Amino acid sequence: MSAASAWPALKKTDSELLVALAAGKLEALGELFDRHEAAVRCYLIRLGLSASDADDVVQATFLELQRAAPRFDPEQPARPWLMGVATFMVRRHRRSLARAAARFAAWATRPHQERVQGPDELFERDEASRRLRRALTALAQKKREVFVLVTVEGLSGEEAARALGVPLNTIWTRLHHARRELRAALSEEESP
Amino acid sequence: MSCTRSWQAEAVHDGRLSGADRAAFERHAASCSDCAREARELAALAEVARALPAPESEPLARLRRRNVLLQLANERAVRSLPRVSAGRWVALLASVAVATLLALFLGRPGTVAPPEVAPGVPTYRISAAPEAEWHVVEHTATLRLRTLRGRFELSVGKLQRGQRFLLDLPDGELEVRGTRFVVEVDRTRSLGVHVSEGLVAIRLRGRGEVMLGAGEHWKAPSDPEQSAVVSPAPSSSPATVVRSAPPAAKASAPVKASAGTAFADAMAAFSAGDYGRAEALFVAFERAHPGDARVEDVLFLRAVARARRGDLGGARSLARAYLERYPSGLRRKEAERIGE
Repeated sequence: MSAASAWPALKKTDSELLVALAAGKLEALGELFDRHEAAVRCYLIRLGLSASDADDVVQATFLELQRAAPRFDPEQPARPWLMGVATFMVRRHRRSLARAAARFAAWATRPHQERVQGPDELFERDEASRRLRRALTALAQKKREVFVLVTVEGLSGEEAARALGVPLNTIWTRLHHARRELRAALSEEESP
Repeated sequence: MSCTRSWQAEAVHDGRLSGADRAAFERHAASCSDCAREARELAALAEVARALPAPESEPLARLRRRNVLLQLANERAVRSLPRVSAGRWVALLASVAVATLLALFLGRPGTVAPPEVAPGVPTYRISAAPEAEWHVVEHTATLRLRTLRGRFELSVGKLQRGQRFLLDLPDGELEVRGTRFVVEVDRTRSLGVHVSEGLVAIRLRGRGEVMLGAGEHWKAPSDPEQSAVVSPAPSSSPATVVRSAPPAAKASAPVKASAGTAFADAMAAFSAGDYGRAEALFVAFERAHPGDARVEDVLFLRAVARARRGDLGGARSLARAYLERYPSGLRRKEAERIGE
């Protein structure tokens, strides 16, 4: 084995991959998918999409990267940008989202469901999570996006502002209202 | 909430207050029950939010989605290549028509030179097995794909002058001249090629070029050091094979299907809803490749196939067999549900 091959090749950063994708190298898209598919899917499900809708939007998001990669600023971190693209793809799939919301709403209005029906519901066993998901579904889309990006996905306010293309103060305002509404909804459920 | 400073709890929580302001608020919150409760509730909400679960996708499904994504991205890349605009086409046709009319009018059998149009990217369709890996290396009039692993079925449109379609193999390359064919590779070498239409040239490193016509197939020898052997199908033209095969070539015995092919065939039957055949192929796979990592998937998919055929008892016992063998397997949760 030569000295050069004794060292594993350094992995490309996400930014480098996006730059390569912008130059038309599709293998970079495969690598980005391997790295971030699970996180993007998780984010979409937390936004309220069903697993199958999330799969569709994940596909659309990564396909959109091919078109959007030339607009990526390599000086900025890639993950928030990717979450931003995913968010816009969710909005584009508003019709699908409306269907998902209707499903969630129908499910949420039912009394406590003792028997777990399917794989999606398996993840709803935890009561607190279930209540929060229900409350999240009732939030307006833009407030929900900010809450999930900042509180759940751990993006900073600045990163969320860049991802969504809005001023930083808008992020704090939406986050404040989202929290207030969520806390009100959760305490309403707690009170008998 | 009555304290006028309780909004600062949120600012502290978000990291918008620091230094002296933060310290001042923390001192205040230590003696203010409103602010202390506000901070506690914000922290509790964040904790529940961070614990929101999200189901993980299955590895096989993810691999399938990855392949579909790359296929769609490739098709989109092909479509987005610059094309001659409609206006330019009209101008081109008009000039050709004028030249033809002039030639006819002057009574001379003039010749109209064909316009020089740069060849575009060859058109093709690729259907990859679930575990297959590939990517596009060159995307010009010469289209070059690199196959890393798995089984691929390709259909290449008729190539124009100046167009080439090449497939990089782990141990050489394959050139196509308008054809339909199936190719299978693993990480280190090519395993087999079957041509159903057209003509394919295989050039493996250290070996001569082998031409395959319609109906012919090529299998890698079981000993990689041996020369490649061309096995013509009964309908093929032996002349092509004799002309192209290396001097040491000899007829080979049928080669056992590789693990990749066997698994892909079983998955194809499963995806097509032919669960009886899928289960038979899964069983054959399990027997032929007992050490393969995909045996875990096979055992689980057998249970699913059985359930979809309506044999719930059989499905249950297969699911239990899976759990016994893979107590912490990837399909544990689904198997538990089937086994209940």
